[in-house]
Amino acid sequence: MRSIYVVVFCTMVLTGQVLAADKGSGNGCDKIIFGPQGYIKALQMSSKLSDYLEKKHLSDGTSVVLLGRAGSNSPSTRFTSKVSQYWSYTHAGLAYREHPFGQWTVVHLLNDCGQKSSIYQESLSKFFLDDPYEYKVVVAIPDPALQAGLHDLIVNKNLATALFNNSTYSSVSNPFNTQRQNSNEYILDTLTAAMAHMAGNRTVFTREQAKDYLHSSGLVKKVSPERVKVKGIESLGLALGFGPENATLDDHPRSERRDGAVSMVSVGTLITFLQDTAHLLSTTELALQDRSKASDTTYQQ
Amino acid sequence: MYNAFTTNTALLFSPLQKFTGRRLLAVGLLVGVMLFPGASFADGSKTMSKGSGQVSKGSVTLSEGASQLLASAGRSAVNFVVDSIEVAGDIAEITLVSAAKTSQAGVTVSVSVSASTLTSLAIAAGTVINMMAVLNESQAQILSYLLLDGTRVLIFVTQTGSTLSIVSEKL
Repeated sequence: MRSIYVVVFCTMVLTGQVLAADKGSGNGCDKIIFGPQGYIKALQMSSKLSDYLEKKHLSDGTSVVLLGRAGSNSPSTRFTSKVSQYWSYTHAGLAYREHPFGQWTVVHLLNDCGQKSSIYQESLSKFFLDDPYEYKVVVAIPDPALQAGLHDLIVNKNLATALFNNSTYSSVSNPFNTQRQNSNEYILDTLTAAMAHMAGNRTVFTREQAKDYLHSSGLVKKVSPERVKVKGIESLGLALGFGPENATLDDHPRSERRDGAVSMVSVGTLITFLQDTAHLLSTTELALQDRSKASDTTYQQ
Repeated sequence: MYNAFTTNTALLFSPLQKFTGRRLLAVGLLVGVMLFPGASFADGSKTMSKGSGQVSKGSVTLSEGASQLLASAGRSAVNFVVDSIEVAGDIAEITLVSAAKTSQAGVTVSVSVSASTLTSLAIAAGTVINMMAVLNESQAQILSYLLLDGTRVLIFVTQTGSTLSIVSEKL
């Protein structure tokens, strides 16, 4: 019996320790208090990005872009594939210049708490006011046709929530089924829906329909998933319910869990998807000169 | 027959063993709770949505003297005192005056916030507030202002007409 305690103890500790290494943008449940530095850095980053986007708009009419920012911790030890040079950006959103909520509004999915998430429309400053571990951003500009398709889908047809469709959240959601959804998979579903409409399939409105289209159209072959390392002890811990509430592996095939690496969508995956579908015009990275994490941000449980 | 799942395990432990087992379990639970903060393999969270007036929208109008005072302070905060608070409907207008005795007259700042934000800020006439200009990277342009209680950010405000706002809406 004593050995059972020891096993339970070790499983909990090891699961916690390994997952704690990924602590960053948090589980969504904790209240976060930003100090002056957190505000200053978020505003400087958004100002820099806003200046860049406006220049691009004036030069070539860019009005919809994919943005990738860092989370609150480096994924270097977790991501084994490191898809494209943009693998270290862990959270994506799509920004629309001509949006009724405001110029360059970011529409993205955020983890509220546990398995709950929602779609938010936010200003650029708010996009960076989330305790990133590095103040940097990658801007991927789709071709004008896809930009127009995305604008039509999200701004004109107002389908942002349909592509979410009250999904259940997991930070390591499997991009190839609809059991769970995370923020980057939401963007993949949005891009897929826009591509479906461009191809004449105008009945794709929900994430389930987008996923069907991803498979039926063959676009799935263009998805290069990131592989996230999951140790056996973590897998066991998650299965026993010891892991964080915002991560589960139950939507991944047993073979992936056995191999210790599960598939998910990273920003690198999204940019590679745009590139491989011949919809990517350009990518640009921007960063603050002092890109380091704001030191005066605290979490309140 | 002995069965680990049906036998009353309490009877099988010596007092010392019971203590060790319970302690292990308790420590395990404690460590587990402390170390399971949530994975963020690939995502942003909505942690700050539960913040208070920290991110509330507000706009600010500065007198020329106040602009000069804040610009010359650079990244440092300048002390102001709440001179008056006027609430009309949903809008609260807070007037701040420079706390420096040597300050010239007319160094005033007028901050406009929602009445609910004012309630959450819990400030009154006479309260000392620090104000800091947020400059861009090259320190050449003021992006916004922070109103602070010491180092605690009370509210973020932009100059009227600024496009740099911190706004968020759940769909």
